Amino acid sequence: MRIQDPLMAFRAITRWLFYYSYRRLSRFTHWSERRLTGVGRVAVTATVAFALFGIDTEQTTAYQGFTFLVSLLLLSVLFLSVTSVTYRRRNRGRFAVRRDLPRFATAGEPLEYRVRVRKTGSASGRAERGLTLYEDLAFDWPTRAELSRAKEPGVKRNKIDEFMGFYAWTWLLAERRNGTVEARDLPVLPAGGEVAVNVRLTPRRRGAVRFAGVSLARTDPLRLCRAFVRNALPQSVLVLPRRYRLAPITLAGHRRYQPGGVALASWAGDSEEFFGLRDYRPGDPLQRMHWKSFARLGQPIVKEFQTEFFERHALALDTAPAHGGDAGGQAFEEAVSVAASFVYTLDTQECLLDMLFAGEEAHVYTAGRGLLRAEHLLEVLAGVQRQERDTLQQLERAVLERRGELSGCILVLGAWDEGRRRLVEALRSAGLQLLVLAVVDDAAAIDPAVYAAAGVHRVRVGHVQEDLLSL
Amino acid sequence: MVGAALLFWGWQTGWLPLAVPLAIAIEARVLWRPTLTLDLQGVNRFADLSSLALIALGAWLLVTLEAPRAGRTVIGMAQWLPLTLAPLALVQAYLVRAPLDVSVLFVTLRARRPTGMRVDMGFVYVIACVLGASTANVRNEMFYAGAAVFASWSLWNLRSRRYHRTVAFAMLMVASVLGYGGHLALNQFQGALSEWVGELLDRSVDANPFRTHSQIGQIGALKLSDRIVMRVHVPAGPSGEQPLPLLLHRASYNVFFSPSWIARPVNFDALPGDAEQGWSLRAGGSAAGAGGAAAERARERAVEVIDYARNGKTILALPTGTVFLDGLPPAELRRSGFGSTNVDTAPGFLRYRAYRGEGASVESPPADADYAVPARERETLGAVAAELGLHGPAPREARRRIERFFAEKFRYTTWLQASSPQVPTALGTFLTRTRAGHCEYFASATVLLLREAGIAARYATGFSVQERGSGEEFVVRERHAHAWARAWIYGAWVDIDTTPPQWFAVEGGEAGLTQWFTDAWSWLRFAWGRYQTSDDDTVSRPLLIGLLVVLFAWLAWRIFRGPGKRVQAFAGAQGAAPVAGADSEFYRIEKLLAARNLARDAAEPLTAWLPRLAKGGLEPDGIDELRAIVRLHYRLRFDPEPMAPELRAELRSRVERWLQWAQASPQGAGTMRKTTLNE
Repeated sequence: MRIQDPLMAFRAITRWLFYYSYRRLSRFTHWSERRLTGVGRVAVTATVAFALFGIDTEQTTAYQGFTFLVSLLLLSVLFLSVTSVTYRRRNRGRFAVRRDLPRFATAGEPLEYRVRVRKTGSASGRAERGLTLYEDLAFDWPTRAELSRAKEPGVKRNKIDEFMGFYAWTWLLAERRNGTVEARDLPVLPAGGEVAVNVRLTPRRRGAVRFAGVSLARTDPLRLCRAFVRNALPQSVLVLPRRYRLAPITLAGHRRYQPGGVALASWAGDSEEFFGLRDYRPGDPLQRMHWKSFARLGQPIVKEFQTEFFERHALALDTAPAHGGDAGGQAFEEAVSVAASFVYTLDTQECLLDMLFAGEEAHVYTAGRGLLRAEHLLEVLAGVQRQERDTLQQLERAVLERRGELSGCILVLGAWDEGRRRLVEALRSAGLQLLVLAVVDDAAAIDPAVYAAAGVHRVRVGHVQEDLLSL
Repeated sequence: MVGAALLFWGWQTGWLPLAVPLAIAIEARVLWRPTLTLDLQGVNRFADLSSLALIALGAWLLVTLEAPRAGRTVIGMAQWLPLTLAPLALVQAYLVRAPLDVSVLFVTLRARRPTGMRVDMGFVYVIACVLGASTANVRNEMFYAGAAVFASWSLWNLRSRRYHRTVAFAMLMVASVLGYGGHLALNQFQGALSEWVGELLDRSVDANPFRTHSQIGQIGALKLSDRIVMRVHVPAGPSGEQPLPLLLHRASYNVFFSPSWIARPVNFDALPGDAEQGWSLRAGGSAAGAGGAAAERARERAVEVIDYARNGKTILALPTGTVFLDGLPPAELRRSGFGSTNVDTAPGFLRYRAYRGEGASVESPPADADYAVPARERETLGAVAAELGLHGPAPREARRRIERFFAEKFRYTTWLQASSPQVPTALGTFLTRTRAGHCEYFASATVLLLREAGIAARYATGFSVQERGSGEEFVVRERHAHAWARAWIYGAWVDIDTTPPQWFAVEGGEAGLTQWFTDAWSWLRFAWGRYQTSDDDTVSRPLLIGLLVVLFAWLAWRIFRGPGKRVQAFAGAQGAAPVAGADSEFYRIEKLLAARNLARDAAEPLTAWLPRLAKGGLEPDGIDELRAIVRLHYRLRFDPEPMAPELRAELRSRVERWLQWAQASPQGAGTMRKTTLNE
């Protein structure tokens, strides 16, 4: 890197320093949170207090309390490190841990699952008391570049905080971990027996929560510190987008002829849906004759078909970049949530729903009777990413290709600008019934009247539920 | 345990009369079994009360305590922690039994999400009591014993059941022994360390009355620091001008052992006097301490010095002829025959006034060592003395010749030059070859030349006061440290400074760029020191109190106003919305039955409760009616659709009727009669 400006150099060096000190600090905090029990933490705080007040050993006797507490903490650490050696050797590979993890979780919704811990070995061995179960989440540390790019959504920091980037770091780290798991105390675990505990996971955002393993902690006799036995148990759970309640909506549009009926894939050959059998009437084509029934009943019977007419809606999600505003991508996240809310609420037994969005290419997923289910669409939404390049054209083409079959289209936009306005116009002029929702980060930037004029529902970040209910 | 800890605090600090009632008040919960509760907002208010009490106490202590105020205030605040935290301890004892979130203690944390760290305030309170007791500084074994007992007691109740209790017990015992040994060692170690560090730090500024090491014979630039070490108020002389430069003397030496000057023998004698009366340096020399107008005049003529004594031990810098000292805090003063005045007092700033008087010297008269010239220097000195004609004239004439010799033929430099190979000593090189050097050369050479002339002389060190600071004051920097000669002329010690007067300007010219910053910092430090050591607070104290009142009011406003709104807003965001159907009239029935010993258990469903009521003696008709009411109540509680007004009214009236029926039955629910119910 060529540095021309001393100020730039200073910035670069301080940012580098900040990054590494934050990383160290985060490691240390995590370590101390794990290693020290609540009592231990109070003891350490008290030790510091006694040290401060006893700094001059002639002025107060607080240093005596300090040495006692330090001795206690040292003994507790010593006890654990000495016993850990034998404990690990004796119990190597004897804890079998299993997680009964569901496939999906929802962002922000606590999820309870069971973890079973078994201790193999003879039943005459010692029972394990006072163990605590910790889930180890796997995550990659944010890089320096990611930290400098990171911006907390929806929070305004002052210049100094922005430069120091500590809040951005904590936010980024929480995003990476993508969830919190509460520690659970295990009941008494008899040798050769099994216990199960309910563990509560709260995922933070859509995507995945990855588990690295399960740690079993034991404390020293005075319950000041903990020592761990780690069990690798890599697993992951898919986190579906956060969903909102929608007011009962009636989508505009008419039923359309759907070639192939509902079960598109369940029928080969004729493209109409089987309806029933009836007596032959003169004029019926011979191809419709049901020969088996004719044989059984002795009179000609024909198959009757019905052409399917029903509603088919498109749900188009905008993945194009937002120019200006929405630096933290919060509007996009909310747009995904809004799309997920529609997927979840629309009754796909009654209609078909095409979900469209543009990634590397245009993706279309159709949910309905005999097709994909709503969960499948949510699963897809869990992985949708905002694209670097402009994908509005692609989305427009994908929707217009289906125009003939669609009764209406719900368009969820992650911003509002000229390009998006043109997209809406183009779709409208193609004769589509549109319901447009623009999720915007900075609601005050554009006059609400602009949205109204464009026939767009504005959904403000931070007021999503409120705005959705007023649809 | 909380009560016991309080008593321990009271016993150690001597405040048992306060501790006993408080301990009783807290422990009375055992007898009384209170049933009160308090919501989070209320708890926060109590915590704020504690914080405010602590701040108020701190402010009060800061205003009322003697110097050094800051340190004593912190210790005082710690000492009274059990009192200031008492509201929280009472809340924990009586109103909220569950552990409280840590955010209760810190206003700054309240606006955020709860930390999830929950602490029993009783536990915190015990720690506060022990910490408070420690500040009493009772130097016997009881504090350690108490601290160990309370820590062990707390930990014993919380110990892990994974291990046998003997293990925990052994650990506590070992920790007690280790901690005991540790605190003895720590105390000794700190004593040794502070002595060592003190020596290391003070080497540059503080004079050693036994020996001084000069830079004579060294090569290179003299290291000089701009740090301000003292501020001096110099009174105007009879002509209205301040006699400058003023030399402040700290120590004298009689034996030259190049490059060091040594004083021997040194005997320190305690000076009579105290902080009230002042200290007299000479028997009967307390002329200024008498009081009245004369004393006032003497006080105006006195030199006032503000100095900083890091560990409370220092050598005072006094003008020649000082006979009386006052203004010092309570201290022990000792004086040597070489004129060094040693002070031993509390660490911090010192402010003292030195009164000069006429008459006999306060230093010891010369001895043989004050006439001795080192053998190595004798040859050179003899030659110079012969050149100046010092062997013979009267002391005054000899002094004049020496002074002129240095003034005319020598120049000042801070550059230390190498000795000439032809001349055996560095001082010889200075006298015969380079004729340039710094004050140590001039002073040493002057002392030895005076001795060559038959005049007793000593090498004196101290500071030269010349730089005017802000206002009336003079500042003394580290580089103003100076050396000069003291000669015994006509029965008195006289200062003879032969260093060319330019030395001050030369050194000042080399001042570093950072001087401005260090001066500003020093100004602040000394302003604080002056405030701390001032004995008339007539102006500053009301101002300080005023400032504190404003600060206090602002804090109180912030605590009771600002966060309150935020907390409310946050509570809303958390979804702490009122429970649907919380206004159901059904709860009145529950309350009534609870009063009749038919209370529902904490997690008992209503459907399980009703059969139990039947067994408890409630009449079957009452139960049937109750069942219908429960159905309505459930609908109100759990139906997502709002309840129709007529159903709501029905619930209300049925409950009303049921209650009337129940209250009408004379001996409790067991004898409710069918007839009344059906009316």
